[in-house]
Amino acid sequence: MMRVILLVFTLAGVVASGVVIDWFARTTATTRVASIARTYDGLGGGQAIVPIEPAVGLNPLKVALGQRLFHEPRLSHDDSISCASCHILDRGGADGRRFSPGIGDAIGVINTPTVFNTALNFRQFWDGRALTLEKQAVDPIESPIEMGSSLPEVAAKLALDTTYVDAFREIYPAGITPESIVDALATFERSLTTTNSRFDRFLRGDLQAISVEEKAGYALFISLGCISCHQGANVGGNVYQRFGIMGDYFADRGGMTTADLGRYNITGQEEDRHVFKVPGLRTVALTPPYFHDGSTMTLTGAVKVMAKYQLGTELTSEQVDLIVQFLTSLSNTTSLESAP
Amino acid sequence: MRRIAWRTATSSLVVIAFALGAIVFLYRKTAAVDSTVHERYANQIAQVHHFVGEIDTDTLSIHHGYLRHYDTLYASLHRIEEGAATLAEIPPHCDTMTRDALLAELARFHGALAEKRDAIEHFTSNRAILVNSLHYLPQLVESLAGLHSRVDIQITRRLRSMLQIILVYKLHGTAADAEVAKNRISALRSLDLSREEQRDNIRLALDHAGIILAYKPKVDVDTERILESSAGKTLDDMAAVFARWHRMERTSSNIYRVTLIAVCVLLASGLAYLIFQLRQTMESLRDVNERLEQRVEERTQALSQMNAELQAQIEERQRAAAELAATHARVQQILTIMPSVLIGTGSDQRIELWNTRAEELFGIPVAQAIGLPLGECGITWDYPHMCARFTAITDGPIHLPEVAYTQPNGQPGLLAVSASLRPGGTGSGLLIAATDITAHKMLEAQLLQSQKLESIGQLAAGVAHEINTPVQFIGDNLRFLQTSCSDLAPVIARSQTLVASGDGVLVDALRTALADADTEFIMAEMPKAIDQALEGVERVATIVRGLKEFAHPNSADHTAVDLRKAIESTLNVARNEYKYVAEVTTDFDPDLPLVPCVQGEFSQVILNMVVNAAHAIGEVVKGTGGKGLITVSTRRDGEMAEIRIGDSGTGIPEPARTKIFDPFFTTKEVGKGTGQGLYLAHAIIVTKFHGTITFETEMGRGTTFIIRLPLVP
Repeated sequence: MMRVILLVFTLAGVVASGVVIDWFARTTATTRVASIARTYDGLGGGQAIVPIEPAVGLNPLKVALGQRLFHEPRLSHDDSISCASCHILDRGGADGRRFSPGIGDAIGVINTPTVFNTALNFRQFWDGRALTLEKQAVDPIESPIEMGSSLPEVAAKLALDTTYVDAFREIYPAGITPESIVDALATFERSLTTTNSRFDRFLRGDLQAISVEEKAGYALFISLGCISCHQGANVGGNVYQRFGIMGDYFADRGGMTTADLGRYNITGQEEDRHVFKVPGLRTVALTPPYFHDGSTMTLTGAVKVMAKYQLGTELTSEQVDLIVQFLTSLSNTTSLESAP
Repeated sequence: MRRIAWRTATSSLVVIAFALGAIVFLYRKTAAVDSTVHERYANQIAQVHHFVGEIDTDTLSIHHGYLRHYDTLYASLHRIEEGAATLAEIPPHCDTMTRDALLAELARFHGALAEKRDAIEHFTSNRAILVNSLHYLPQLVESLAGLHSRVDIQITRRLRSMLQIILVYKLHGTAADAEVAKNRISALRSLDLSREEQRDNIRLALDHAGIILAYKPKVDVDTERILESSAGKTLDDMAAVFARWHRMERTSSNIYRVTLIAVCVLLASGLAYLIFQLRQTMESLRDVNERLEQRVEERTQALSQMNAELQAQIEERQRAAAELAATHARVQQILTIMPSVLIGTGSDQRIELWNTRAEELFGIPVAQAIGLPLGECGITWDYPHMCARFTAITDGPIHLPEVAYTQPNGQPGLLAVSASLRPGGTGSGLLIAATDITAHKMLEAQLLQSQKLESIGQLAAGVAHEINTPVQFIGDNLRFLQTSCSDLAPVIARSQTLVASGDGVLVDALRTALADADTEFIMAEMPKAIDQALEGVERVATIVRGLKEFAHPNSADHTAVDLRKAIESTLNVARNEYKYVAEVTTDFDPDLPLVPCVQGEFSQVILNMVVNAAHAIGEVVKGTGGKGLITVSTRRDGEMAEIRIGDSGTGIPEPARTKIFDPFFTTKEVGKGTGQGLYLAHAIIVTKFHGTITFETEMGRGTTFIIRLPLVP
């Protein structure tokens, strides 16, 4: 009974604060940015999420070549799969499947993360095993259950295509090499940022860019402590965290796999068991299913799982709904549609 | 004087080159310190250091909640990594020690950075958990212990005190507080909460409290690890190493600079001194020059005088030289036309003089002979012998009347050589004069032979003449005796008949006288004896006639000669030579006409042939008592008359066959032959009669000489 009352009060407070912020924004235009900052600061999450800066200083030729390679099936052993087969750019940079199919009849063991805003991540892959995008680009190409090829093989195949030979020559003195292939791919991936989302516009001072509910969701996101991990420009992607701080997710889910061990697979340290890179949430509304195991099909469900196992709290459906609404404001759908 | 000047100039140049080299070297050393590069590198270190500091600041800000996202941490890390990559490019002029030290520090820095990154990754993740629990725990405790809480008052009090001590622990972080908090948590956990409605929330609060207790030290440790990271210190060390090196470089650069200035000053003063010296030298040179010009003028006058004298002398000399040349030409001419060979050698026995006659006689051109040692010049004489003779010369010339040599055509020849030491020559140079006396000697030999033959002929003619008369009257008397004998024969026959048929004392006395005188035998034998005597006389007459014919005074003109007669008379003359060793058979062609030649010479040839044949047979039959055979035949062969003189002698040995017609060639023992016989025969038949003389020979079977004479001259 007490909990329900507490929750109702909290909810009411959050909504009220959203309304107040909204009112402030409408009435005192001159001081609105400072005041909104103070408001969210008061919630303990001010300046935790920052707008995505557009990627600058990239060589457009490399980006174009990387884009072509990204869509190139010849990167796989049997010419059947490209990067874009799983990282479908107009579907948030993922494929909507729990596990993605590789060459032959192979099926992946971990959910495909988005390719967008990966440049903002401190490490790549769920287990953070790659420090750079260049290192990341190699693994799927050489994984037997993904593309099943190798960089030398790819280089040899591409060398048969004069358009590739010319394109590489134009940029890289050494032409087609494993290094130039991953460089082009990584450069293209660095260009894949979802800038100017509604929420970023809000952060930059356009207080009307997001709705009242979304503001309320943002307030909840802060006050519930989601913001402790999901912060920064990518709303995550720059910190490791154990899955199941306040509860044993894997015991509850059952059917433990190697992939579930997370970073432990890399370090062998007990403290790294079930530790994963916290994913960025910029395209989260577009990329179900969720978590490394793709076990949750909806964002609502995912928010609930997070609250339960990471925060040790249970959210009302209204709370969940508000947070989900907030999360949808993080991604720029127009920039996705115009994405290459 | 000039040499000294040259040496001074060279050494000056060397000094200047050395100084310039030193300046270039020193300048390079001074310029080697590139302040821009140094500053860039030092700045790079400082920049990396700055970002390390940024991380520390950001960590503290996050720790205290002023900064609420981690992007700046990783942005700083990224920049540090970029900076560290550029730090790996050590400035190129760093010495190896500094380079190694910097690289070692950089490696340490990378290690520290990895450590720092690890600490940051732990810090961010632990801090998130701690912050959330610190957020939830007070909320939960407030809701459980709030004014309207239905939770047991004891529990709420305990919860509050637990919260308090945890917050105190959060504030001070003392181990004692942690212990107390832990005790309170376990006390609460051990409570029986089975009846409490809020037990889940109480447990949740205890979980959060446990998390705070567990993660607060973790976060502190992580924070410590970040702040205490040796990355910054490593960078300080790097900066110190680099600064130390740079200081050293600057110091040495300053030393080089000072040295450079000193060298420049030295060089400048050296140059000034040189210029001063040069001016002085030039002035003294001018003086010397003037004096020299004066002296040159004086000398020029003296010289022109001397020149005139010299001119006169030169003309004198030229005249003398012309005379000398004329004399030389004359001598040369004499040498050329001289019929004798003239060879001069130097003290080293090398030929210096070789006249035209020597060229002709020995077939060796002067150009080839000059300079050769006398022994190798190609004269085919017995050089060792000659040499012995030459070296024996002391004073006065020596004469070697007959020196054998081989003519260029391969024929043997004879030289009369005179040699003396060269007048005026140095050492034992020789002057050798030689005259070819081959022809002379040959003529001499021929003359001797003909004289011999002529005297024999004269003697023979005389003897023949003297013998002729007695032979004639012996013959006449014999014929008288013959006639007388035949006249007496009937008388004796009658007497015998009378004795046979008659009686009487007279008859008996006659009978006795006849018997005593053996008349019968006398009458039977006497005519025979007379016949034989006549025959002998006839033979003597024939020989005498032959002798007369053989010794018939030579007529140089060709006359028609009856070869048969000539041969027969020759055979008669030569009979004594062959009669003990050989029979002679002749086979004369009755149709052979008279042959135009000189009978005496022809006979001489035949005589030679027959005598040679007899000698050849004599070699074979010697000591056996047997006899060989000489065959002489004539026959007409077209327009030629052919005379063949064969013998059954030894034959001519192979080596001798080509030489038998050579003069002085003989196989006979000394004194028996002169070596002139066949040579003369050849000369007479071929040269005089235009015939040919050849031979066929087989060893052990004999030799046949074939003489062919033209029937028409």
